[in-house]
Amino acid sequence: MLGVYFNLVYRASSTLLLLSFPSFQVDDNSILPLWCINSLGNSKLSRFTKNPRSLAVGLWRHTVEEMHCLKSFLPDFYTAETMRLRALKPFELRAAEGTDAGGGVGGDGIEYFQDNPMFGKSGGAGGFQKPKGY
Amino acid sequence: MGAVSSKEAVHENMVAAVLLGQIAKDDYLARAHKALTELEVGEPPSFAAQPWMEFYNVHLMLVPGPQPLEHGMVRLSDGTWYIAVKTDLGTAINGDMFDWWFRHCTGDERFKWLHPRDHKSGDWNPQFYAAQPEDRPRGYYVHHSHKTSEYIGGRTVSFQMEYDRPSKFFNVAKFAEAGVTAVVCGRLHILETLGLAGIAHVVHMVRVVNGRSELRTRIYLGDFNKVRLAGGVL
Repeated sequence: MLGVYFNLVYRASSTLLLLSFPSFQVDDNSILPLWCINSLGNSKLSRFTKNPRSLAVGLWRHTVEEMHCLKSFLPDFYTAETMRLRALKPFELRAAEGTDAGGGVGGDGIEYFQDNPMFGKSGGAGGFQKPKGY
Repeated sequence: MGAVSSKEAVHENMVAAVLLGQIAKDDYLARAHKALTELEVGEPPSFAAQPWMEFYNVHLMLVPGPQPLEHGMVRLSDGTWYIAVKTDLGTAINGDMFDWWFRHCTGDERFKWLHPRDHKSGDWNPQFYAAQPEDRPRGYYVHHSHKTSEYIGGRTVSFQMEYDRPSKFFNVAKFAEAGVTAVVCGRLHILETLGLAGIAHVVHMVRVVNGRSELRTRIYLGDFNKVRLAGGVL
């Protein structure tokens, strides 16, 4: 009820304002300039009617739940996604950045060009040597 | 085909998990859904309004130790709300990882992981995708906007979160001294028929306390600022 009353008063006063001061019309689609809307929007009455307790409780509860959900999957997702993105990046770019673990010959005699958790860093600390014939 | 009662019905987020008989490690939606259903959130603790809760005192978050109200909400004398949430991130999540999430929370699917029940859709402004995911540096989301559709307070609302640099609110030179490892802040706008209007300031701060990361979220609801008119009467 209070909201409806406020809305009626707000609309009536804005129309009167426009009739009194036509220069208030800032563009074709609006009656009031932004500063006027913002002043009314920041009035105590507006804050109490537009931000009821139910909205604030809803936001609080939502944030608590959001952060709890984030905590449940973030560490695993971070690990998996960073590995996936790193694998997608072109080999030469990774080598140029020094972020590649380096290539090397594994225990099975196969020359590995990309990171392999089985063999770890075989190319030295951030170093990379382009394998022969690559 | 017989009717399925609500008790037998499987939630859409859990279909894959039910078919497999377990929640797969990479089924983040199901994991988040399970975490959400197991969580019991009570009523927010009440507290008396105090001057340090005003938005212009947000910099006091850098003071060591907990603030008198870390988890709850208060209506301030000017009509705005001070909303505080504290989350223990443990030792598995650090500030880098938290910041990384905001750079990689792209598309509806990932946004739903954050809240499988209330999040409907969410995506960044097109310019956000100018950089590849692996090339987005820390704080890349600053000055980008995230448009979302969420179910909050009993209705679906469209938000637009515009991220800002932490130096706007804090003395970043004191972060290391205060054990702060990440700060993500911005202005929350609401998209309605009358246009786009800012309604809240949001701050997420991660700091290390006794070797564990704690996330402190502050929402200052009620600071109104109409940004754009939508062709309506007002």
